This record gives sequence, structure tokens and C-alpha cells, in this order.
Amino acid sequence: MTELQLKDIYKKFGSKVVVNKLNLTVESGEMLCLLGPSGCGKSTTLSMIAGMQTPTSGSIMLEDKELTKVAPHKRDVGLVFQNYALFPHLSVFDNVAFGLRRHGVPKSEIGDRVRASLASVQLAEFEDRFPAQLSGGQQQRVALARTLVLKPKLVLFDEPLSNLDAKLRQALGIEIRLLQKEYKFTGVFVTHDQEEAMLLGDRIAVMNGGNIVQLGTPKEVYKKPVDPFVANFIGESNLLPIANTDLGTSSETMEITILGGHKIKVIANDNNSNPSKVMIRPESIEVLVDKDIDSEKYNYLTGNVAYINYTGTSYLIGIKVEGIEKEFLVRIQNMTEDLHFSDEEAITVKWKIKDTLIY
Amino acid sequence: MKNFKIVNFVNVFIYIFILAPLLVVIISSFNTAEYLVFPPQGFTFDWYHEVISKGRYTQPFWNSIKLAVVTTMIALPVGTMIAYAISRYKSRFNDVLQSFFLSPLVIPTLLLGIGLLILVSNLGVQMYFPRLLLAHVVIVIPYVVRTMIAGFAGMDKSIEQASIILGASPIKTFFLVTVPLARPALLASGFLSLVVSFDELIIALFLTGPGFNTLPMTIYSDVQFNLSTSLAAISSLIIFGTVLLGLLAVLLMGVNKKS
Repeated sequence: MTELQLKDIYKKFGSKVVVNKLNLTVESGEMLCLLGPSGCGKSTTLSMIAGMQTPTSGSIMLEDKELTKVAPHKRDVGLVFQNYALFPHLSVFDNVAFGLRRHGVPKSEIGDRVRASLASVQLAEFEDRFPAQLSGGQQQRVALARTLVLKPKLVLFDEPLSNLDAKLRQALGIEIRLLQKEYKFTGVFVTHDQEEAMLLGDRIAVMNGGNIVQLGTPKEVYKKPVDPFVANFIGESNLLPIANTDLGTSSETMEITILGGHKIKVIANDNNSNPSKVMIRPESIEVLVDKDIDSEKYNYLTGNVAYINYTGTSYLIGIKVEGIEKEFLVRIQNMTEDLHFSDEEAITVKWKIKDTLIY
Repeated sequence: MKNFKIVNFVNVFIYIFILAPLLVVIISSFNTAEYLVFPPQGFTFDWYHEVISKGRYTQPFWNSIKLAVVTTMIALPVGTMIAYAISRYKSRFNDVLQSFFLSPLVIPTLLLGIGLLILVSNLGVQMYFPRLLLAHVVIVIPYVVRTMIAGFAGMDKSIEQASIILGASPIKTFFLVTVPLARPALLASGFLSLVVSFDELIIALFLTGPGFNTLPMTIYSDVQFNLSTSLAAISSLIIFGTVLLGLLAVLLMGVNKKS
């Protein structure tokens, strides 16, 4: 069932177009992540759903009701801020009770609902504290309790994890997913962090230049990015400029020459007749150890090791390839003894032809 | 380290420069001599006794207090609303509005006095208190507006947005969230407003006449015609009063910060 629908949303600040004819449908109970670099219009879009800003044109529907003209304090929408935005002059209890009191909930009910809400974010014993006495993570959990106690249909998240350190970010991200199951709200989550989007989103809408570039499940967006921008934004990628396309080598694959004269095979694709770039994910690449060459299945590339970085869970190898400006990146899970390389040493890598994408 | 010492030296010098005249007045107020002289020739509380018991300053004092309090009661809410509008609603007239409301600060008081005299005469305001009240509200508002704009600028806007999203109307948000958060700035504005109005002389000279004196006016006429040591005593009382009021304001702000 459709919960939230954005139709042709257009927003101009002065002469600058920030959101350009954006269309988006969010299904009931799903978490949709708006992902993009700063200035892509994601925060403005969220702000318009919350009612903090009015679209220049277009309409916002919540459960088939026009929301665009409804005053922000009368929308049934929750908002969790990046900087928590708790009321510093009120105790944790009063912060959570604030919305209930504004909605005229009877006094007898307020105490129970506030305590239940605080318990669901594991802050039951903190009701008498003030925001300044809490850590960042605790403050954000109070903000979650304050929002969820009203049981809104739609909850908006404006980069709520960005001010927290990496470990807490993941823990609270998972907590938000669990809270969504418990409270059954529909969520729109704005972030510039692709890992956060992958962790939280049922679907991800990648935004750039005021519009959605790609909309899909985390897996779709990662495996089949529609363009080099998305490929670059979601995860790591090697983008190699194409020098020459030689179509018709065989029916299933075609051969492409990239800068530096290296030949690469890709699956023939009708809807991209004039590609300019080849994209390979660093983690779909292996280092060639044996001398088994299977050019029906694999692509090969040789270069010199520029650097090897150990990142705890994996190794990132940068390879200098002739004719290509940027280092070719390879990420491998573990280095066995025979995979020991020193700088400048020649190295050959291989990856499956089907993992080679062209744009 | 060396620079630090020079800075300290300069600081101390500035403090001496500012505080010395006040100290001279306070010390002189205990002098036994009839006229204002320094250094003092003996120690007595007589002048304080005279100031308080003789009543020459009593009526002007209450006039000034009444004026300062009523001025503040009007200027504080009006100035706060002006400052809120300027800080929260973006329009291309913001700079113009801000300059307009701060302009009494830069216009010479003399001109302001003449202008206001012409205005109140044409408006037919005959009574001195309302005349002065109108004038004081005009000269005090810039202080309130400037302090409150700084206060609102330092406030996180998303806290007000949170209140609205949680269902509070903009007006409720203003009183439930904005005002409590702006308390330090409100206290500072109120203090400034009281002190500026209480201290004001030039406009009072223009706008009032026989039968209505403010404390600065009485002190001024005494300085001209009767340089008695009791002047030092009433001045010292004003200094003590101002310091007490200032301490009270700082104390109230400090309490707010802790919670």
C-alpha cells in the first residue's frame, strides 16, 4: 500500500533549482533511504515532507491526503534530527511528554506512554535527567522516544547518525530498524553515508543534482549501478576510460580497448551502443596466482603494485597500470604466503567478464 | 608569554581607567567637607543620611524607577518581537529593518531630543510621563533588539522545528521553547533597558518641564548650582544599585545555564 507519494516536486531558491521534478513513492512500512552528496537536494526534499519548506510546485500525498498545504504542526509526521534537537530546558520525561501534551492526551495516560516509550529505547531510568547530562547516543535515543511516543505514520530521519562515532552509528542504526518493526512506521531516511543506507534501507534512492538517479534495493543499486556516478557513490569502483569499441567479436561478448591499449571483454549489451567507461568493483577482482588463463570467462590486467593497505578485514591493493591515471583498486579478503607482494612488483589480476559493467 | 603579559598590563590599565572615577565618587561620598573635594578630609555617613532623609531626591528617584520599569515592560516584548522577526523570517528587507531599529543608537541624542519634542508637541501629548516614556522606549529598543538578535542567532533553530513537528503551533513554540531558551538574552536586555532608561538625561531635559524631574535631571541641576557632597552620596547609591541589579541578572543567567 502506498503511504507517501511525491509528485513532480520542484523547489527553487532564488534562481537555483534544488529539487527538480522529483517523483517518489514510499510503500507503507518500508524504510526508504535518500542517499546523495551534500547539495543533491535530499535534505530539502525531507524538509518539504516535514513542512519546514514549501515546494515551488508539485504535491505531497500522505495516504491519499494532500499534505502540501497542511501546517507542519498538524501533519502526522515525526522528524529525527542530526543534532538531536532536544529541549535543553526540559527533563527527559518532559521532552518525551512534549508532543503528547500538545496533542491533548489525558494526564493519566501521559506517564505510562512516556515510560513505555523510554523503555523501548533502553532509557527507562533516565527520565529525570536533562539532555546535557546524556551522551550523544543517549540523546538521539531520547529523540527517537520523543518521536515514536506519538505513533506517527511517517517518520523522517535527517542524518540522525552522522554526529555519532562509527561503532555507535551501526548499533543505533540496527536499533532504528528494530524500532520500525515494533512501531510499524513508514520511514524516509536521509544520509550521505552509503553504508548507513545499505544497513537501513529497504530501498535506496540515490540522488544527484536535485533528482533521483537510481531507485532500488541495496543489492540492485550496488550490483547494477545505472551510471558511473552511482557506481562511484555506492562502494568502491574502478572506472576505466574506453579508447575504442570493437563490436561484433562474438555474439555474446564484445571486446573493448581501454586507455593504455588493454583489451577487455564485456557481455554484449544492446542498450548501451556507445559506452565511454568500464566499471569493475575492487572486491570482484582476484590476484592471479597460477598461470591458468581462461580468457573465455575472465578478463586480465597487468601492472605494478603501487601500495598495499591492510584495513583489518581485507587488503586494498593499488596497482599502477600503464596508460591509466588512477590506481586500479583490488580488494581481497586474505593474503596467503604466495600472495606476498612488495612495492613496484609486477602483478596480474583477473575478474569475471560478467562482473564487467560498461557505461 | 611576553605578549600575554603586555595584554594583562593593558587590561589592568583599562580597568583602572574605568573604575577610578567611580572609586573617587564613592570615596568622596564619605567626606566630611561640604563641597565635592578630593582627597577626602574625614569620614562620615552624614551625606547618605541627608540624601535619604531630606527627600530632595526621593520623588525624582521614584519617577526614574517608574519610567525605567514601564519603559522596559514595553521595550522588552516589542524589541524581542522585532528581533525575532529579523532573525527568523528571511526577507530582503532584513538589513534595512535592522538598521532602522538600531538607528536611535547612532543618531545624536540632541537631534533625537529635538525631533521627539516636535513630535510629542504635534501629537498633543502634554503630560511629561507619557512623553518621556515614548522617548525612552525609542532609545531603549535598539539595545533590546541588538541583544536579542545575538541571542536568537546563537539558538539552534532545529529545536524550534522539533517543537512544531511534535504538534506545537508556532505561537506555543515561541512561549514553550524560544522564550525559555532565550532567557539569558532576555535578562541581559531587561538589565540594559532598565539601566539605559534610568540613566538618560538629555532627552529628559528636552521633553519635561517644571514639576517633573528624573533623578539624572536633579543630579545635573545640583552639579550646576550646588556642588554638595550629597551628590557623591546619591551617585554612590546609584552605583551600588546598578551593581546589585547586574549581579542579580548574572546570577539568574547562571542558574539557567546549569540546568
